[in-house]
Amino acid sequence: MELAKRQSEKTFSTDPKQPRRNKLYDKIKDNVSLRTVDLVIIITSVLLVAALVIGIITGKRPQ
Amino acid sequence: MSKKRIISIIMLVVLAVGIALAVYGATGVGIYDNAATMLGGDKKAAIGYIQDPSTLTEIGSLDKLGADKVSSFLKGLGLDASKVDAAVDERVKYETAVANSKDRSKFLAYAQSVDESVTEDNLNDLIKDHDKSDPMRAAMAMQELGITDEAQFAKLATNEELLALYKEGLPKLLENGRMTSGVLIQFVGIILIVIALAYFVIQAMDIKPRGKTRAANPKTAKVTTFLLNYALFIILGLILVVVSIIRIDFLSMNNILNILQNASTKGILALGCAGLIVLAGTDLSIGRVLGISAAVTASLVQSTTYASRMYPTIVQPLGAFGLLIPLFASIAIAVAFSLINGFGVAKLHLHAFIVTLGTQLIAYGANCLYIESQPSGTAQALSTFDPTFLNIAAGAIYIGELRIPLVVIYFLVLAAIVWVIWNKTKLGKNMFAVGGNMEAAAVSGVNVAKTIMLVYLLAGVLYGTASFLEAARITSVGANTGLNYELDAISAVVVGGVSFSGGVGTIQGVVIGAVIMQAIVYALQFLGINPYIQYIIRGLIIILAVSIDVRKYIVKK
Repeated sequence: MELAKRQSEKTFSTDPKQPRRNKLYDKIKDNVSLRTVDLVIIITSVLLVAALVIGIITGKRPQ
Repeated sequence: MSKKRIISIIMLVVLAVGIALAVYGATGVGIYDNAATMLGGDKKAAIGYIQDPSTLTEIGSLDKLGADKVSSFLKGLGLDASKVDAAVDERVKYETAVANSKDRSKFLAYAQSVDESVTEDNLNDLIKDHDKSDPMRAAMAMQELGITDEAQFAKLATNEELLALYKEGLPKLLENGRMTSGVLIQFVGIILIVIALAYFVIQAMDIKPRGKTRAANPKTAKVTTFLLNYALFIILGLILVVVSIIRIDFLSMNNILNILQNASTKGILALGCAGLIVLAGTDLSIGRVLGISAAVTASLVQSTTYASRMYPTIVQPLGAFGLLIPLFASIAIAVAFSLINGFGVAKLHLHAFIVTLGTQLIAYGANCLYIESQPSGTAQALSTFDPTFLNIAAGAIYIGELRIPLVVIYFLVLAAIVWVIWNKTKLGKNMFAVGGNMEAAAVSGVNVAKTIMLVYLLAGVLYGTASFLEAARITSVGANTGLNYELDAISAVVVGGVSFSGGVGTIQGVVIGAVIMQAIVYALQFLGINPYIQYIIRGLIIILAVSIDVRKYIVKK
């Protein structure tokens, strides 16, 4: 256990003031509000539906 | 009125102007399409005629194009209106006379007036005898037009007058610069739209939540949260419903089995990739690794009767057990690349994105070299496979009349095996521990590096197996085999609910994700959607899936 702990301390930062952040989502969580993410979801959904509608309108379906 | 409100109003005006300019510009750009319609040909040919009108030799029938439309098109080009009217009238009369001469009853009446021997009974013989009937039809048309001179009739037939007007008018399309300005106006419109939208999006970030309003409507908030969390599945479901309504044959049993068959190899890749994403990593090399592994498989299973095979020294068919050699060779190649990725991530602490991007290029280069090293000296795709290989890897079993592809069964068996590894073994538990919290896993005594390497190893085995099966499915392996397969695999994994944050995911989710993504790809093809728009749609699906994943993570934390 001690060996594992030492290995872990060697691998990861042990500074309590600046804990190692190796997760992308933690960084996102720290910098992005829920509202912004909601906005991204809404905009992407609208774009997706728009692309589908344009695709269906301009599509050439085999008869 | 506050300064902010004034800017917002200005931006609304900018947006409206942008939309108006984009639409107006598009009408200018559409001139090529209009010209193509007015020439009765395709757009490419029309561009050629506009740039060099001397190449124009014929125009479509005015009956089909519409005499009024042609007339207004030519007048719109600034040509003399009286000349245009005269040429169009003359052409309409000519086409009517020719059409009348082809009318059976009218032709019979004319033929009987010039030759008494023609009767209803022998009319068919006369029509078949073109040497006799064609001059008779021409004479009939000339009589109707009141022309006696054959040269004048020939001039009408070649449509010289109208052709000359087209040749005079088409260059004016370029001279008046409307097409060029149309393109520029369109882009100015797009720029204004982007500026306005960017402003509104940035403004939206600043809006403070209105506590009272939000708190007062818990039901609305619940519905909104539901819509946001399930936006992807709502849209994907909508696509499938729309395609089922437009093309009812989409839901035929054959089609469903085709979807499952195509989803199987991608699904096996997704099973491998899912483990890496549970580790909060990714793999961009999947497609190219599949390419080289499939090439190795293909080179070893080419028919011994095929003269241009990669290894002419293989003279005996491999047989069912012999096929284990190409299978293991394929797995070995894929595992080698996966272990390089794993070493980079586990020991060198490199980001999976960077390592796998590097191995992707290495695999592609190696694949090209391998395919180019054929004895024939060409880089032709490896094809013509041994029938035993095709039967085992891409065959099917029949239950009654139902044809079930073997690859679907292989996929389900592999999914079951990976499910056991994920849920019932120490490796699976360690994988989720490392993916969920690497520090905590290390402190708890989990050998992080070993776990990562083993997960990459498992991914390699699955990639190799998928490559073996894919070679049989596509029956021809070239340098571009596997292109963009990583996108299919990653999107299947993400749609299947495996979180990029790591430590979250299920095998059943990955299987469903692979089938849903393949069904969507099929649905888009069924709807005849432009392949480039299909790429855009698939990209947006990935972004949407990840955004929803991020949202869930933020809410959870």
